[in-house]
Amino acid sequence: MANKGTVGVLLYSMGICITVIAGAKLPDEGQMWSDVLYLFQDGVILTIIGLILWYQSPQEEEELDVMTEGHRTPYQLLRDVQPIIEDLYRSVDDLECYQIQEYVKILREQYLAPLESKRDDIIKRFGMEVAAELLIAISYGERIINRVHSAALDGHHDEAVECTEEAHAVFQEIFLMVRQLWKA
Amino acid sequence: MSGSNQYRELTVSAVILGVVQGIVLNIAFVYAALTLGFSIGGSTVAAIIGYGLLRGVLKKGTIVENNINQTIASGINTAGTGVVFTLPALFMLDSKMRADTGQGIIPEDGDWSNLLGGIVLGGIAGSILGVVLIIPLRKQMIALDRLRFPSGVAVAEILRTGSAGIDKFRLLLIGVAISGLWKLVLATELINQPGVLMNEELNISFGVIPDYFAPVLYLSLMNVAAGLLSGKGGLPFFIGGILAWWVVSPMSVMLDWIQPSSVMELAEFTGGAVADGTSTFGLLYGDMIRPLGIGTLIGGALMGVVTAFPAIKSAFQSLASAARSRNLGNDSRIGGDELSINVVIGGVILAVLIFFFASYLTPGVTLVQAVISAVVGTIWLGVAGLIVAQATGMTDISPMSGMALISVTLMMFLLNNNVAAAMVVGVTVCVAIGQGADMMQDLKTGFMVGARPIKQQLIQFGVTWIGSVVAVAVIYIIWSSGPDGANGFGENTAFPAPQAGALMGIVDGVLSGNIPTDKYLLGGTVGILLGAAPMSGLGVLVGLAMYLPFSITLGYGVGCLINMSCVKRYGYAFVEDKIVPISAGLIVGEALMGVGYTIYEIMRKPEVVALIETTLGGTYG
Repeated sequence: MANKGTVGVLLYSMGICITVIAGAKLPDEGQMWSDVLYLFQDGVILTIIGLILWYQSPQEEEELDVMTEGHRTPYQLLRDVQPIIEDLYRSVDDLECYQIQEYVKILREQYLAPLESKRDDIIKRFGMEVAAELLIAISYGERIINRVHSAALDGHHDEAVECTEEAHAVFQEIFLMVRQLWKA
Repeated sequence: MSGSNQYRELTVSAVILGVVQGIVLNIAFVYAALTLGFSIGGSTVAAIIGYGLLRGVLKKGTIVENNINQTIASGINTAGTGVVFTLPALFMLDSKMRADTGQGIIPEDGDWSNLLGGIVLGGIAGSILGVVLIIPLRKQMIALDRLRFPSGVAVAEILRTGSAGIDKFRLLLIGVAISGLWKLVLATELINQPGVLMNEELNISFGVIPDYFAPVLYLSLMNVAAGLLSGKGGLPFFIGGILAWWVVSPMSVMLDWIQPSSVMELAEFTGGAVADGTSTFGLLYGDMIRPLGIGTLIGGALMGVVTAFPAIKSAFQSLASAARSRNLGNDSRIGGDELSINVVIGGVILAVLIFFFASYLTPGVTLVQAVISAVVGTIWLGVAGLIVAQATGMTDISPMSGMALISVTLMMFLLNNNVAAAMVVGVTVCVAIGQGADMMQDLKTGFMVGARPIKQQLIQFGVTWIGSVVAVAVIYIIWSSGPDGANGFGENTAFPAPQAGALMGIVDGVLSGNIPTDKYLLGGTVGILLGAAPMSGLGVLVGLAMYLPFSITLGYGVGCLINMSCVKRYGYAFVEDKIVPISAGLIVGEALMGVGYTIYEIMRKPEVVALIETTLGGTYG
């Protein structure tokens, strides 16, 4: 038997098609509305019913996804990125620019990019207001990591070191937030 | 500004270079828009020239310094774009009304000084408001929604080119070469064939598919590249186009709602663009789908504001808490390099005041009307800015002309059909929304290269107003170069100003009470329903697909499908390493060739030489 979500999406799509088709018809000369306005109204009702069913279903399913996901969850990604940041922070003074770039490449490809694709999971788990604070902080940290990369590409070692320190401080705040959120 | 031993970012060299490039690009593109009816974003050109000059000539440029240069150049250029799509319509309307009725928009027999003063002020207000609007939206769209901003990504690739490794550089160059050559072939019309390929659009009906399925493909590789960069996220845009042209359109014909004179006109059509001008397209697109799309776009955006309210609220709270942290001397680093919420509040107040005076300076506007225009104009501007920034972020396509149309219609309604005042507000809104979308692209680029947003935003505040002033001056000079110091552009001149002509037609329509109100309202309802779905940006994307010709949506959709197929077959890393640099190259190549060819076309015109002589020599004919 089809679940609520599938039925909801189907009804919603059908409703949208009907409203768009009926809405496109031109009114007769001198009239404000076309003679298929009733069809438009039916389409609106169908869309709203579909929307309600759609909203009722995915919440249960997707919450389950977050709990049972086999590969890395946002929490695991944020937990695992910590030692890499620490390692870069401790050794950055002694690294050459090309080595700093390699670190950033790993950070981006293995942690920050996958984390970006998990932003919806974070929002669903904590709600927009709480998740937004964390996501804004992660975005800030990512931008500073990008600056480390640019400075290293430009061969400006001092700036790369300075920004690594800044990124380290930002991610410390992020890790604190993560611990508090997931503990709660 | 950065000292010599610091990492160079906001430097005198970057600012001077950005301003000079911005003014040159502004003049060139205002000219191109009056001649050809379109303009081109200047970010890619500025980034490449900046790379050559800052790094190659001065030998000390950095990636983030070049980001400042291209931010300034594109900001000044974009402000001009907002003016050139609206102001010429005012001149042309005045001339037409004078010819028809003996009385123009300006009662004092052609004394434009007050009105032009209002328009310049409106343009400056628009520049400020556009940047202010983007301060909180940056957090929402870049940090929270993670919108793609394809051109912003392409420019970031250019800024990092040369330092980012030979493989990516090679792929970018391959993209540039392919796209540049293809654009040259299309622009020179070497392979044009009436009824098959014209105006860069290919008829794919094969003599079988009826016109109402819109069997036309826009052959722009830049368009395909935008889809390639957007991937799965851009798919609702493609689906919106399919809904409009493969469901609504054939249903309308099947149900006998329209009776086109012929359903197979495309194959025989020889009078201009393949996809524009046949009776089927004119009726389905012009009267039904496009106005419904405009309504959907607005309804979708308004619902987007409602559903994204927690995110917008969080963005404001984040700005406020960053400001509090700074004031209390807290250690928190987050948000420390952004403009504070006080700038947002102060900027809005200042801009509303300028908005008010710009309207009030316009002949025939009362105090009450000026207040209404400032308040409603500012609110509408916020909504329109959000629509354009979202559309640009998700697809790289800006529905600027549609927003100009709604702005002018709304203001004519509020200002008792005062065309001049409506146009002043129209200029302000167009400059602001263009500025906002451009700033967002630049901030996305800045995010990717690690720039400090506060520096980008401050410099944008400081210089983009120049764009409005330059554009107004250029337009006025060209208008005055006509016989008896007027009619320098418009019908039967070297500058047909097609966009302004379209806007003029709309104003004419409003004056005669011919507005598709039902389509706007029904479309708005559809947009609200789409915007309520648990899929971010659905209303805006579907509305945009209905608003644009299907040839564009189809090419973009092909790009999305290729990206999705590559992700499935080769994974995300392949897309980031191979597809992104190639796509960036495709965007850059077409932009460069487009600019180059436009300048070449302009320089070939004898009128250009005459205009330069007139301007420099001061010998009015």
